Amino acid sequence: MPGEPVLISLFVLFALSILSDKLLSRYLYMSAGLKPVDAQMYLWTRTEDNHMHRNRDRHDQLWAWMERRSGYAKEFYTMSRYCSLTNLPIKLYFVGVMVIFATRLYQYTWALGAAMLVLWAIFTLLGFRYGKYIQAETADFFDSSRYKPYRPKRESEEEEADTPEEPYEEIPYAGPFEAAEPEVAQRRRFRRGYTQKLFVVAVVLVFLVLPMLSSKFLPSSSTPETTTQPSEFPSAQPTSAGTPEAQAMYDRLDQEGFHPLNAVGQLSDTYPGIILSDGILVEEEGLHLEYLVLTQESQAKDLAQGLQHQLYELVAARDPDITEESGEGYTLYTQETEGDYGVVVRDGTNILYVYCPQYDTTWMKWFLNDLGYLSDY
Amino acid sequence: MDITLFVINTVICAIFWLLSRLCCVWIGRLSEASAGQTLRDVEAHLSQAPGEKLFPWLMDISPRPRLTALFHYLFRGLTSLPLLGMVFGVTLLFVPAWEVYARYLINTMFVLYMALFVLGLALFDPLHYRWTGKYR
Repeated sequence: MPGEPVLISLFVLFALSILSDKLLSRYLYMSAGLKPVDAQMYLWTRTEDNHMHRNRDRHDQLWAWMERRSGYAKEFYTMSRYCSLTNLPIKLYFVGVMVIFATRLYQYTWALGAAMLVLWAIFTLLGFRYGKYIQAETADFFDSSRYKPYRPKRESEEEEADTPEEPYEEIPYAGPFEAAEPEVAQRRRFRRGYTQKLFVVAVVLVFLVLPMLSSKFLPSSSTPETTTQPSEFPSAQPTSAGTPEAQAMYDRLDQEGFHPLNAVGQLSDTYPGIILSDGILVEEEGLHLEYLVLTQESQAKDLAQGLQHQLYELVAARDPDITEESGEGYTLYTQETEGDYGVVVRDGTNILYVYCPQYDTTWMKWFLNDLGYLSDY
Repeated sequence: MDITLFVINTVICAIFWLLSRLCCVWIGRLSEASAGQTLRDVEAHLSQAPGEKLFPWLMDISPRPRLTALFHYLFRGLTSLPLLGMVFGVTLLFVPAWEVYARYLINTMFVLYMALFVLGLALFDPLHYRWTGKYR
Protein backbone atom coordinates (compact mmCIF):
# COMPACT_ATOMS: atom_id res chain seq x y z
CA MET A 1 0.00 0.00 0.00
CA PRO A 2 1.59 3.26 -1.09
CA GLY A 3 1.33 5.31 2.10
CA GLU A 4 4.17 7.62 1.28
CA PRO A 5 2.76 9.35 -1.84
CA VAL A 6 -0.60 9.72 -0.14
CA LEU A 7 0.86 11.33 2.97
CA ILE A 8 3.13 13.64 0.97
CA SER A 9 0.28 14.69 -1.36
CA LEU A 10 -2.08 15.24 1.56
CA PHE A 11 0.49 17.33 3.40
CA VAL A 12 1.23 19.45 0.33
CA LEU A 13 -2.46 19.95 -0.51
CA PHE A 14 -3.27 20.74 3.12
CA ALA A 15 -0.50 23.35 3.30
CA LEU A 16 -1.63 24.86 -0.01
CA SER A 17 -5.26 24.97 1.13
CA ILE A 18 -4.29 26.89 4.26
CA LEU A 19 -2.16 29.23 2.20
CA SER A 20 -4.85 30.00 -0.38
CA ASP A 21 -7.43 30.34 2.39
CA LYS A 22 -5.30 32.95 4.13
CA LEU A 23 -4.64 34.83 0.91
CA LEU A 24 -8.17 34.78 -0.50
CA SER A 25 -10.01 35.43 2.77
CA ARG A 26 -8.55 38.96 2.61
CA TYR A 27 -10.70 39.59 -0.48
CA LEU A 28 -13.69 37.93 1.14
CA TYR A 29 -13.44 40.39 4.06
CA MET A 30 -13.18 43.20 1.51
CA SER A 31 -16.39 42.12 -0.19
CA ALA A 32 -18.13 42.34 3.19
CA GLY A 33 -16.69 45.80 3.83
CA LEU A 34 -14.15 44.57 6.34
CA LYS A 35 -10.42 44.64 6.77
CA PRO A 36 -8.66 41.50 8.08
CA VAL A 37 -8.08 43.30 11.36
CA ASP A 38 -11.86 43.74 11.79
CA ALA A 39 -12.49 40.05 11.30
CA GLN A 40 -9.72 39.18 13.74
CA MET A 41 -11.14 41.54 16.31
CA TYR A 42 -14.61 40.09 15.84
CA LEU A 43 -13.25 36.56 16.37
CA TRP A 44 -11.32 37.76 19.38
CA THR A 45 -14.42 39.23 21.01
CA ARG A 46 -16.26 35.96 20.31
CA THR A 47 -13.45 34.13 22.11
CA GLU A 48 -13.84 36.33 25.13
CA ASP A 49 -17.59 35.97 25.15
CA ASN A 50 -17.78 32.24 24.57
CA HIS A 51 -15.59 29.30 25.36
CA MET A 52 -12.29 29.05 23.58
CA HIS A 53 -12.78 25.50 22.37
CA ARG A 54 -15.88 26.33 20.38
CA ASN A 55 -13.80 27.45 17.43
CA ARG A 56 -16.28 26.20 14.84
CA ASP A 57 -19.07 28.27 16.41
CA ARG A 58 -16.93 31.39 16.31
CA HIS A 59 -16.26 30.96 12.61
CA ASP A 60 -19.94 30.28 11.95
CA GLN A 61 -20.77 33.46 13.80
CA LEU A 62 -18.16 35.36 11.80
CA TRP A 63 -19.64 33.96 8.61
CA ALA A 64 -23.21 34.93 9.53
CA TRP A 65 -22.03 38.38 10.58
CA MET A 66 -20.16 38.90 7.31
CA GLU A 67 -23.20 37.75 5.35
CA ARG A 68 -25.39 40.33 7.09
CA ARG A 69 -22.76 43.02 6.81
CA SER A 70 -22.26 42.45 3.08
CA GLY A 71 -26.02 42.79 2.64
CA TYR A 72 -26.07 39.27 1.13
CA ALA A 73 -24.31 40.76 -1.88
CA LYS A 74 -23.66 38.68 -4.96
CA GLU A 75 -19.95 39.54 -4.93
CA PHE A 76 -19.57 38.25 -1.37
CA TYR A 77 -21.08 34.87 -2.27
CA THR A 78 -19.01 34.58 -5.46
CA MET A 79 -15.83 35.27 -3.52
CA SER A 80 -16.81 32.78 -0.82
CA ARG A 81 -17.36 30.21 -3.55
CA TYR A 82 -13.77 30.69 -4.77
CA CYS A 83 -12.54 30.36 -1.19
CA SER A 84 -14.34 27.03 -0.76
CA LEU A 85 -13.22 25.85 -4.21
CA THR A 86 -9.57 26.12 -3.18
CA ASN A 87 -10.34 23.70 -0.32
CA LEU A 88 -12.13 21.31 -2.66
CA PRO A 89 -9.01 19.55 -4.11
CA ILE A 90 -7.90 18.19 -0.73
CA LYS A 91 -11.41 16.88 -0.03
CA LEU A 92 -11.56 15.29 -3.48
CA TYR A 93 -8.11 13.81 -2.92
CA PHE A 94 -9.34 12.14 0.30
CA VAL A 95 -12.26 10.59 -1.55
CA GLY A 96 -10.05 9.67 -4.52
CA VAL A 97 -7.54 7.93 -2.24
CA MET A 98 -10.35 5.85 -0.76
CA VAL A 99 -11.43 4.86 -4.27
CA ILE A 100 -7.81 3.99 -5.16
CA PHE A 101 -7.44 1.83 -2.06
CA ALA A 102 -10.73 0.08 -2.78
CA THR A 103 -9.84 -0.64 -6.40
CA ARG A 104 -6.12 -1.18 -5.68
CA LEU A 105 -5.12 1.07 -8.57
CA TYR A 106 -2.18 2.33 -6.53
CA GLN A 107 -0.26 3.41 -9.60
CA TYR A 108 -2.59 6.43 -9.92
CA THR A 109 -1.86 7.85 -6.44
CA TRP A 110 0.73 10.34 -7.68
CA ALA A 111 -1.31 11.19 -10.77
CA LEU A 112 -4.33 11.99 -8.60
CA GLY A 113 -2.19 14.17 -6.33
CA ALA A 114 -0.82 16.03 -9.34
CA ALA A 115 -4.30 16.48 -10.82
CA MET A 116 -5.56 17.92 -7.52
CA LEU A 117 -2.56 20.24 -7.43
CA VAL A 118 -3.41 21.54 -10.88
CA LEU A 119 -7.04 21.94 -9.83
CA TRP A 120 -5.95 23.87 -6.76
CA ALA A 121 -3.74 26.13 -8.89
CA ILE A 122 -6.61 26.86 -11.31
CA PHE A 123 -9.11 27.65 -8.53
CA THR A 124 -6.60 29.81 -6.68
CA LEU A 125 -5.75 31.77 -9.82
CA LEU A 126 -9.43 32.31 -10.58
CA GLY A 127 -9.96 33.36 -6.97
CA PHE A 128 -7.12 35.83 -7.22
CA ARG A 129 -8.52 37.23 -10.44
CA TYR A 130 -11.89 37.82 -8.81
CA GLY A 131 -10.19 39.08 -5.66
CA LYS A 132 -8.33 41.71 -7.67
CA TYR A 133 -11.65 42.78 -9.19
CA ILE A 134 -13.11 43.19 -5.69
CA GLN A 135 -10.04 45.09 -4.59
CA ALA A 136 -10.42 47.48 -7.50
CA GLU A 137 -14.14 47.94 -6.88
CA THR A 138 -13.74 48.56 -3.14
CA ALA A 139 -10.66 50.80 -3.35
CA ASP A 140 -12.71 53.95 -2.75
CA PHE A 141 -14.97 52.34 -0.14
CA PHE A 142 -12.26 51.87 2.48
CA ASP A 143 -11.18 55.52 2.16
CA SER A 144 -14.71 56.85 2.41
CA SER A 145 -16.91 57.37 5.44
CA ARG A 146 -19.05 54.36 4.40
CA TYR A 147 -16.40 52.05 5.83
CA LYS A 148 -17.17 51.42 9.48
CA PRO A 149 -14.38 49.58 11.28
CA TYR A 150 -15.57 46.97 13.75
CA ARG A 151 -15.69 48.17 17.31
CA PRO A 152 -16.85 45.70 19.89
CA LYS A 153 -20.12 46.85 21.44
CA ARG A 154 -20.97 46.69 25.06
CA GLU A 155 -22.61 43.45 26.14
CA SER A 156 -26.14 44.86 26.43
CA GLU A 157 -26.01 46.39 22.97
CA GLU A 158 -24.51 43.32 21.37
CA GLU A 159 -27.15 40.96 22.67
CA GLU A 160 -29.79 43.02 20.94
CA ALA A 161 -27.87 43.14 17.69
CA ASP A 162 -26.84 39.50 17.58
CA THR A 163 -30.13 37.82 18.17
CA PRO A 164 -32.62 39.54 15.93
CA GLU A 165 -36.05 37.96 15.73
CA GLU A 166 -36.15 38.16 11.96
CA PRO A 167 -32.66 37.93 10.49
CA TYR A 168 -33.73 39.22 7.10
CA GLU A 169 -35.54 42.30 8.26
CA GLU A 170 -32.95 43.92 10.43
CA ILE A 171 -29.72 43.77 8.49
CA PRO A 172 -26.74 45.69 9.85
CA TYR A 173 -25.65 46.29 6.28
CA ALA A 174 -22.34 48.07 5.85
CA GLY A 175 -20.82 46.50 2.75
CA PRO A 176 -19.31 48.08 -0.35
CA PHE A 177 -21.63 46.27 -2.77
CA GLU A 178 -25.32 46.66 -3.38
CA ALA A 179 -27.41 44.79 -0.81
CA ALA A 180 -29.67 42.03 -2.12
CA GLU A 181 -33.44 42.03 -1.80
CA PRO A 182 -34.61 39.92 1.16
CA GLU A 183 -36.01 37.25 -1.19
CA VAL A 184 -32.74 37.07 -3.17
CA ALA A 185 -30.72 37.03 0.06
CA GLN A 186 -32.73 34.07 1.32
CA ARG A 187 -32.25 32.23 -1.95
CA ARG A 188 -28.48 32.77 -1.80
CA ARG A 189 -28.30 31.49 1.78
CA PHE A 190 -30.47 28.53 0.81
CA ARG A 191 -28.35 27.64 -2.20
CA ARG A 192 -25.15 27.68 -0.17
CA GLY A 193 -26.61 25.49 2.56
CA TYR A 194 -28.15 23.06 0.10
CA THR A 195 -24.91 22.74 -1.90
CA GLN A 196 -23.08 21.77 1.28
CA LYS A 197 -25.72 19.14 2.02
CA LEU A 198 -25.49 17.74 -1.50
CA PHE A 199 -21.70 17.50 -1.17
CA VAL A 200 -22.17 15.38 1.97
CA VAL A 201 -24.67 13.17 0.11
CA ALA A 202 -22.24 12.77 -2.81
CA VAL A 203 -19.42 11.72 -0.48
CA VAL A 204 -21.70 9.21 1.27
CA LEU A 205 -22.73 7.78 -2.10
CA VAL A 206 -19.08 7.41 -3.14
CA PHE A 207 -18.42 5.41 0.04
CA LEU A 208 -21.45 3.25 -0.69
CA VAL A 209 -20.24 2.58 -4.22
CA LEU A 210 -16.73 1.72 -2.98
CA PRO A 211 -17.50 -1.89 -1.95
CA MET A 212 -19.08 -2.45 -5.35
CA LEU A 213 -16.01 -1.00 -7.04
CA SER A 214 -13.69 -3.15 -4.96
CA SER A 215 -15.69 -6.30 -5.71
CA LYS A 216 -15.52 -5.43 -9.40
CA PHE A 217 -11.80 -4.78 -9.43
CA LEU A 218 -10.56 -7.26 -6.84
CA PRO A 219 -11.03 -10.53 -8.76
CA SER A 220 -8.69 -9.28 -11.45
CA SER A 221 -6.20 -8.13 -8.86
CA SER A 222 -6.42 -11.36 -6.86
CA THR A 223 -4.27 -13.07 -9.47
CA PRO A 224 -1.19 -11.01 -8.63
CA GLU A 225 -1.98 -11.63 -4.97
CA THR A 226 -1.83 -15.38 -5.57
CA THR A 227 1.37 -15.06 -7.50
CA THR A 228 2.93 -13.02 -4.73
CA GLN A 229 2.39 -15.96 -2.38
CA PRO A 230 5.54 -17.79 -3.52
CA SER A 231 7.65 -15.01 -2.07
CA GLU A 232 6.62 -16.20 1.37
CA PHE A 233 7.60 -19.76 0.55
CA PRO A 234 10.66 -19.69 -1.69
CA SER A 235 10.19 -23.29 -2.79
CA ALA A 236 6.62 -22.76 -4.01
CA GLN A 237 6.47 -21.94 -7.72
CA PRO A 238 3.36 -21.38 -9.82
CA THR A 239 4.82 -23.61 -12.51
CA SER A 240 4.02 -27.16 -13.47
CA ALA A 241 5.18 -29.93 -11.16
CA GLY A 242 7.97 -32.44 -11.72
CA THR A 243 6.60 -35.99 -11.41
CA PRO A 244 4.12 -37.25 -14.04
CA GLU A 245 1.32 -37.84 -11.46
CA ALA A 246 1.74 -34.37 -10.02
CA GLN A 247 1.98 -32.94 -13.53
CA ALA A 248 -1.31 -34.60 -14.46
CA MET A 249 -3.01 -33.32 -11.29
CA TYR A 250 -1.53 -29.86 -11.87
CA ASP A 251 -2.94 -29.72 -15.42
CA ARG A 252 -6.28 -31.06 -14.23
CA LEU A 253 -6.63 -28.41 -11.52
CA ASP A 254 -5.43 -25.69 -13.86
CA GLN A 255 -8.05 -26.80 -16.37
CA GLU A 256 -10.73 -26.51 -13.65
CA GLY A 257 -9.82 -22.86 -13.20
CA PHE A 258 -7.69 -23.12 -10.05
CA HIS A 259 -4.25 -21.63 -9.53
CA PRO A 260 -2.28 -24.63 -8.26
CA LEU A 261 1.14 -24.09 -6.76
CA ASN A 262 4.07 -26.45 -6.78
CA ALA A 263 4.70 -26.28 -3.05
CA VAL A 264 6.99 -29.19 -2.17
CA GLY A 265 9.00 -27.04 0.21
CA GLN A 266 6.01 -25.69 2.06
CA LEU A 267 4.35 -29.10 2.30
CA SER A 268 7.61 -30.70 3.48
CA ASP A 269 7.62 -28.14 6.28
CA THR A 270 3.98 -29.02 7.08
CA TYR A 271 4.78 -32.75 7.32
CA PRO A 272 8.23 -33.02 8.87
CA GLY A 273 9.79 -36.46 8.50
CA ILE A 274 7.81 -37.33 5.37
CA ILE A 275 9.87 -37.56 2.20
CA LEU A 276 7.98 -35.84 -0.63
CA SER A 277 9.06 -36.07 -4.23
CA ASP A 278 6.34 -33.62 -5.28
CA GLY A 279 3.52 -31.56 -3.82
CA ILE A 280 0.73 -29.36 -5.15
CA LEU A 281 -1.24 -26.89 -3.10
CA VAL A 282 -4.46 -25.03 -3.88
CA GLU A 283 -5.93 -22.56 -1.41
CA GLU A 284 -8.83 -20.65 -2.90
CA GLU A 285 -12.13 -19.37 -1.49
CA GLY A 286 -12.19 -21.71 1.49
CA LEU A 287 -11.02 -24.74 -0.48
CA HIS A 288 -7.81 -26.36 0.72
CA LEU A 289 -6.35 -29.03 -1.54
CA GLU A 290 -3.04 -30.86 -1.18
CA TYR A 291 -1.68 -33.44 -3.61
CA LEU A 292 1.33 -35.21 -2.12
CA VAL A 293 3.62 -37.56 -4.01
CA LEU A 294 5.60 -39.65 -1.51
CA THR A 295 8.43 -42.09 -2.06
CA GLN A 296 7.51 -44.81 0.47
CA GLU A 297 4.15 -46.55 0.60
CA SER A 298 4.38 -47.19 4.34
CA GLN A 299 4.82 -43.46 4.97
CA ALA A 300 1.90 -42.75 2.62
CA LYS A 301 -0.34 -45.15 4.57
CA ASP A 302 0.60 -43.58 7.91
CA LEU A 303 0.14 -40.05 6.61
CA ALA A 304 -3.26 -40.88 5.05
CA GLN A 305 -4.37 -42.41 8.36
CA GLY A 306 -3.14 -39.33 10.22
CA LEU A 307 -4.92 -36.91 7.89
CA GLN A 308 -8.10 -38.96 8.07
CA HIS A 309 -7.98 -38.87 11.87
CA GLN A 310 -7.24 -35.15 11.82
CA LEU A 311 -10.25 -34.48 9.55
CA TYR A 312 -12.55 -36.59 11.70
CA GLU A 313 -11.47 -34.80 14.88
CA LEU A 314 -12.59 -31.50 13.33
CA VAL A 315 -16.20 -32.58 12.88
CA ALA A 316 -16.61 -35.52 15.30
CA ALA A 317 -19.12 -33.57 17.38
CA ARG A 318 -21.28 -32.76 14.34
CA ASP A 319 -22.14 -36.31 13.41
CA PRO A 320 -20.47 -36.49 9.97
CA ASP A 321 -21.69 -38.67 7.12
CA ILE A 322 -18.68 -40.87 6.38
CA THR A 323 -17.96 -42.80 3.19
CA GLU A 324 -15.07 -45.27 2.96
CA GLU A 325 -14.12 -47.05 -0.21
CA SER A 326 -11.20 -49.04 -1.51
CA GLY A 327 -10.41 -50.06 -5.06
CA GLU A 328 -7.44 -50.89 -7.25
CA GLY A 329 -4.56 -49.75 -5.11
CA TYR A 330 -6.44 -46.85 -3.58
CA THR A 331 -8.38 -46.11 -0.40
CA LEU A 332 -10.88 -43.29 -0.11
CA TYR A 333 -12.31 -41.59 2.95
CA THR A 334 -14.85 -38.74 2.79
CA GLN A 335 -16.80 -37.02 5.49
CA GLU A 336 -19.77 -34.74 4.90
CA THR A 337 -21.36 -32.42 7.45
CA GLU A 338 -23.71 -29.46 7.21
CA GLY A 339 -20.83 -27.03 7.02
CA ASP A 340 -18.06 -28.71 5.08
CA TYR A 341 -16.65 -31.66 3.18
CA GLY A 342 -13.35 -33.50 3.74
CA VAL A 343 -11.53 -36.03 1.57
CA VAL A 344 -8.45 -38.22 1.97
CA VAL A 345 -7.51 -40.45 -0.95
CA ARG A 346 -4.38 -42.57 -0.95
CA ASP A 347 -3.47 -44.05 -4.30
CA GLY A 348 -0.25 -46.00 -3.90
CA THR A 349 2.25 -43.43 -2.74
CA ASN A 350 0.08 -40.45 -3.72
CA ILE A 351 -2.28 -38.68 -1.34
CA LEU A 352 -5.08 -36.27 -2.18
CA TYR A 353 -6.21 -34.31 0.86
CA VAL A 354 -9.09 -31.84 0.48
CA TYR A 355 -11.03 -29.73 2.95
CA CYS A 356 -13.72 -27.48 1.47
CA PRO A 357 -16.90 -25.59 2.39
CA GLN A 358 -20.30 -27.22 1.93
CA TYR A 359 -21.08 -25.41 -1.32
CA ASP A 360 -18.12 -27.13 -3.00
CA THR A 361 -19.33 -30.61 -1.98
CA THR A 362 -21.17 -31.51 -5.19
CA TRP A 363 -18.35 -30.32 -7.38
CA MET A 364 -15.80 -32.16 -5.24
CA LYS A 365 -17.75 -35.44 -5.47
CA TRP A 366 -17.91 -35.09 -9.24
CA PHE A 367 -14.18 -34.32 -9.34
CA LEU A 368 -13.34 -37.43 -7.28
CA ASN A 369 -15.57 -39.55 -9.49
CA ASP A 370 -13.91 -38.10 -12.56
CA LEU A 371 -10.49 -39.00 -11.18
CA GLY A 372 -11.67 -42.59 -10.86
CA TYR A 373 -12.55 -42.66 -7.16
CA LEU A 374 -15.92 -42.44 -5.34
CA SER A 375 -17.78 -44.97 -7.47
CA ASP A 376 -21.22 -44.43 -5.86
CA TYR A 377 -21.40 -40.78 -6.87
CA MET B 1 -33.59 -17.32 32.33
CA ASP B 2 -30.74 -15.28 30.92
CA ILE B 3 -31.42 -11.57 30.95
CA THR B 4 -28.16 -10.50 29.27
CA LEU B 5 -29.58 -10.66 25.75
CA PHE B 6 -32.71 -8.84 26.85
CA VAL B 7 -30.74 -6.03 28.49
CA ILE B 8 -28.36 -5.62 25.54
CA ASN B 9 -31.26 -5.55 23.09
CA THR B 10 -33.16 -3.01 25.18
CA VAL B 11 -30.16 -0.69 25.47
CA ILE B 12 -29.41 -0.87 21.73
CA CYS B 13 -33.06 -0.24 20.86
CA ALA B 14 -33.19 2.73 23.26
CA ILE B 15 -30.19 4.26 21.50
CA PHE B 16 -31.86 3.61 18.16
CA TRP B 17 -35.03 5.25 19.42
CA LEU B 18 -33.13 8.50 20.02
CA LEU B 19 -31.28 8.09 16.72
CA SER B 20 -34.53 7.51 14.83
CA ARG B 21 -35.91 10.89 15.98
CA LEU B 22 -32.74 12.58 14.81
CA CYS B 23 -32.71 10.88 11.42
CA CYS B 24 -36.45 11.15 10.69
CA VAL B 25 -37.17 14.63 12.02
CA TRP B 26 -37.21 15.89 8.44
CA ILE B 27 -40.14 13.55 7.64
CA GLY B 28 -42.11 15.07 10.51
CA ARG B 29 -41.29 18.54 9.25
CA LEU B 30 -42.29 17.57 5.71
CA SER B 31 -45.70 16.65 7.13
CA GLU B 32 -46.00 20.26 8.32
CA ALA B 33 -44.52 21.63 5.11
CA SER B 34 -46.98 19.67 2.97
CA ALA B 35 -49.69 21.58 4.86
CA GLY B 36 -47.93 24.79 3.82
CA GLN B 37 -46.62 25.49 7.32
CA THR B 38 -43.04 26.29 8.22
CA LEU B 39 -41.62 25.55 11.67
CA ARG B 40 -42.19 29.19 12.60
CA ASP B 41 -45.85 29.03 11.54
CA VAL B 42 -46.37 25.89 13.62
CA GLU B 43 -44.69 27.43 16.65
CA ALA B 44 -46.77 30.59 16.24
CA HIS B 45 -49.95 28.53 16.04
CA LEU B 46 -49.04 26.45 19.07
CA SER B 47 -48.30 29.56 21.12
CA GLN B 48 -51.74 30.91 20.20
CA ALA B 49 -53.59 27.68 20.88
CA PRO B 50 -51.59 25.86 23.55
CA GLY B 51 -52.53 22.23 24.08
CA GLU B 52 -54.16 21.83 20.69
CA LYS B 53 -53.32 18.63 18.82
CA LEU B 54 -51.11 19.47 15.87
CA PHE B 55 -52.06 16.73 13.44
CA PRO B 56 -55.85 17.40 13.18
CA TRP B 57 -55.11 21.10 12.67
CA LEU B 58 -52.58 20.31 9.93
CA MET B 59 -55.10 18.00 8.24
CA ASP B 60 -57.74 20.75 8.37
CA ILE B 61 -55.62 23.38 6.69
CA SER B 62 -53.56 21.14 4.42
CA PRO B 63 -54.05 21.53 0.66
CA ARG B 64 -52.48 18.02 0.36
CA PRO B 65 -54.03 16.08 3.24
CA ARG B 66 -52.95 12.70 1.90
CA LEU B 67 -49.30 13.69 1.83
CA THR B 68 -49.60 15.31 5.25
CA ALA B 69 -51.07 12.11 6.68
CA LEU B 70 -48.52 9.95 4.84
CA PHE B 71 -45.53 11.84 6.25
CA HIS B 72 -47.10 12.02 9.70
CA TYR B 73 -47.68 8.27 9.93
CA LEU B 74 -44.36 7.53 8.27
CA PHE B 75 -42.64 9.53 10.99
CA ARG B 76 -44.68 7.80 13.68
CA GLY B 77 -44.00 4.35 12.23
CA LEU B 78 -40.29 4.82 11.70
CA THR B 79 -39.73 6.18 15.18
CA SER B 80 -41.77 3.34 16.71
CA LEU B 81 -39.62 0.64 15.14
CA PRO B 82 -37.05 0.63 17.98
CA LEU B 83 -39.91 0.42 20.50
CA LEU B 84 -41.15 -2.67 18.68
CA GLY B 85 -37.62 -4.03 18.97
CA MET B 86 -37.76 -3.47 22.71
CA VAL B 87 -41.06 -5.35 22.96
CA PHE B 88 -39.63 -8.16 20.86
CA GLY B 89 -36.67 -8.23 23.24
CA VAL B 90 -38.94 -9.64 25.95
CA THR B 91 -39.17 -12.88 23.98
CA LEU B 92 -35.38 -13.25 24.24
CA LEU B 93 -35.87 -14.00 27.94
CA PHE B 94 -37.73 -17.16 26.97
CA VAL B 95 -36.36 -18.03 23.52
CA PRO B 96 -32.69 -16.96 23.38
CA ALA B 97 -32.35 -18.49 19.90
CA TRP B 98 -34.47 -15.63 18.53
CA GLU B 99 -31.48 -13.39 19.09
CA VAL B 100 -30.76 -13.77 15.36
CA TYR B 101 -34.04 -12.01 14.53
CA ALA B 102 -33.30 -9.23 17.03
CA ARG B 103 -29.89 -8.76 15.48
CA TYR B 104 -31.45 -8.72 12.04
CA LEU B 105 -33.90 -6.03 13.16
CA ILE B 106 -31.11 -3.93 14.67
CA ASN B 107 -28.98 -4.20 11.53
CA THR B 108 -31.98 -3.25 9.39
CA MET B 109 -32.76 -0.26 11.60
CA PHE B 110 -29.17 0.96 11.44
CA VAL B 111 -29.05 0.86 7.64
CA LEU B 112 -32.55 2.35 7.39
CA TYR B 113 -31.87 5.32 9.66
CA MET B 114 -28.53 6.11 8.07
CA ALA B 115 -30.13 5.97 4.61
CA LEU B 116 -33.02 8.18 5.78
CA PHE B 117 -30.63 10.73 7.23
CA VAL B 118 -28.78 11.04 3.92
CA LEU B 119 -32.06 11.08 2.00
CA GLY B 120 -33.28 13.90 4.24
CA LEU B 121 -30.22 15.99 3.40
CA ALA B 122 -31.02 15.75 -0.28
CA LEU B 123 -34.82 15.92 -0.22
CA PHE B 124 -35.93 18.17 2.60
CA ASP B 125 -34.86 21.61 1.37
CA PRO B 126 -36.36 21.47 -2.16
CA LEU B 127 -39.62 19.87 -1.01
CA HIS B 128 -39.99 22.33 1.85
CA TYR B 129 -39.54 25.23 -0.56
CA ARG B 130 -41.95 23.73 -3.06
CA TRP B 131 -44.76 23.35 -0.53
CA THR B 132 -44.26 26.40 1.69
CA GLY B 133 -42.72 28.83 -0.80
CA LYS B 134 -40.20 29.73 1.89
CA TYR B 135 -36.59 28.73 2.26
CA ARG B 136 -36.77 27.86 5.94
